[in-house]
Amino acid sequence: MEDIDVVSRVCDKLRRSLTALAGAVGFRSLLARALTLAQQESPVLGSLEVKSDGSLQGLNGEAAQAGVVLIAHLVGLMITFIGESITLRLLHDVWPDLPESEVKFEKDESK
Amino acid sequence: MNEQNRVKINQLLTGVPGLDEILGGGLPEFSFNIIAGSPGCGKTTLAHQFIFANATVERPALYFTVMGEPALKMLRYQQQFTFFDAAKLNNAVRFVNLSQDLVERGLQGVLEEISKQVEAANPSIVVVDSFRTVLRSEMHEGKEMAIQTFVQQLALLLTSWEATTFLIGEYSESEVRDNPVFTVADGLFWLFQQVDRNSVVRKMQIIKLRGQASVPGLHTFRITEAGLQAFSRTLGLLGHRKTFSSVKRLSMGIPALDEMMGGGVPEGDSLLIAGSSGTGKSLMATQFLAAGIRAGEPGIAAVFEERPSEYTARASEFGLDLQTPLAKGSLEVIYLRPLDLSVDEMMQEILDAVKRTGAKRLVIDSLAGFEMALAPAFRADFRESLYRMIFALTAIGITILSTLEMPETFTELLFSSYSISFLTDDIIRMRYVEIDGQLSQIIMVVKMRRGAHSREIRQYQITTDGIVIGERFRNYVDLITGIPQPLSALRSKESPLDRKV
Repeated sequence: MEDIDVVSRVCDKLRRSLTALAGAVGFRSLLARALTLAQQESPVLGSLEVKSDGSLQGLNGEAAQAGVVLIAHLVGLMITFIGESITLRLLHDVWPDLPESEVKFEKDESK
Repeated sequence: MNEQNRVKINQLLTGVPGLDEILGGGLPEFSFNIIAGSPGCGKTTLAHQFIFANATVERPALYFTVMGEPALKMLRYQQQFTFFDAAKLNNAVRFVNLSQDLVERGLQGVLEEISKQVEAANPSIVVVDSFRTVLRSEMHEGKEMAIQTFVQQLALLLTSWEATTFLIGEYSESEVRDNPVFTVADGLFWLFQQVDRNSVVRKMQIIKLRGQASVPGLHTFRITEAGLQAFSRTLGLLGHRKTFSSVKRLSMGIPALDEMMGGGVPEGDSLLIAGSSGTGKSLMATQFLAAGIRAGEPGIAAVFEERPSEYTARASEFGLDLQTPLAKGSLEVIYLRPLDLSVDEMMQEILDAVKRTGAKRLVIDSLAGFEMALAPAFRADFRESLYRMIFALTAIGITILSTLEMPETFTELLFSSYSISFLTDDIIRMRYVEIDGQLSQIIMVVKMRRGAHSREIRQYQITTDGIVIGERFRNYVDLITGIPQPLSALRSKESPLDRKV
């Protein structure tokens, strides 16, 4: 139950921040793409769907545990599009207390 | 109204090199402006450059995106420019997407959202990109009044909140008439991309700017990794005419030639050296620069046909050390050969070099190379551009020596294939002549606008010490045709009867 709350809250905070920047449609597209990538990695996310307002549907206990994969892909997509520096800035706007030293991105050499 | 009672309009620096000068000092604060043009002409980049130069955390810039380029992609591409400062994102520069407001609530929804954001953020700058999209959604019959009301309310709102505004739109020139947006706007910036043969030239026009005098006409601009750079068509040198109380003569570095010119070339003159290939024009230009360096007058060489290292190496073959002044900064060699250059860009390069070196002498070697380096679109106006450039540079006291390659004919003496002799104060002509079955070289001073000069036609030679001018040819006629005749031969042809007379 706790995991479900955490994933929902993280996605919602990102949704509010990114919707202002990219629009609701823009955020929804980004999250849908992240979900597709995450589902390939964690089939338990198969029950998840992105609703038209950019919120998540079907987040059950098992999927919530794998929710971090979804968030990782969402952040990964942001890095792909706008780079690490701007992504970090946006994340800091959402979570101002997040210490910089705790934010580390691993480079995906395949990209 | 007298000056004391007038409201002072502050001018904001645009962050675009050259643009402030075109605008007449900067962009009027709180003005309501439109940046118009076709896709890819640099509208968004111009707006970004402005906001990153001016926005602060206290008075941020609000950048509203509507339907056009998605903000994520905009950030992806715009961050490639050096002016882009990621540290300003979301504090001094804030992007807000209005697409949904437009789709769901139309113009009224957009206006309400902009009002809400403006009142919350207290921005100094507001950009709506693309404004055309906002209006297009309502562009159908019977909606003209709604659009006009929307534009007026928006202008009123943003001006009341002390925001300088840019509306960005993909408009065509035919849309300027009867469009309420253009009527309400204080400033109208039009960006163009002109394609001529294989080259593309970017130009901008300030069609309208309330409250101050901008420079009229089309101005070239370029987009590099640093963003836009604009080049005023007046080259920023209007009204700076330098006057000399007495005419100082500058040495050409060839004593006999100085003598022929009445003491050298008058300071601030434009001198043309015309001659065919191999006559020594470039060498004379180099000697002119070297003489300046020796006299403590820094110089600039704008070369188009050889690289700076080749230029200085060739000078050293004639005992002229250009490498030392080049290293010390009293000489600059500008090498430009991009083939899509504008005269204004060339001018900017020269002016920057003048500021760096304090140059008094400029060599353009050669005019033909210069013309070739220009984009085809500029070649048609080469004479006019050259006139502007020479006028502007001589006005600030630079003495210009240009070389011009002439086709050699052996029946007449051409001074210039460009018909540009009227652009120059002084002309020196060098050419080949056939004397006794050999090619010899002659030199003459054809024109000196500001003084008397020698009328002699003298022979010269190119030696390891440079150009050495010899004596006047006394025993030949028709030298200027290139095929002179000995006087003695002419006399022998005269009939005994003529001789008696």
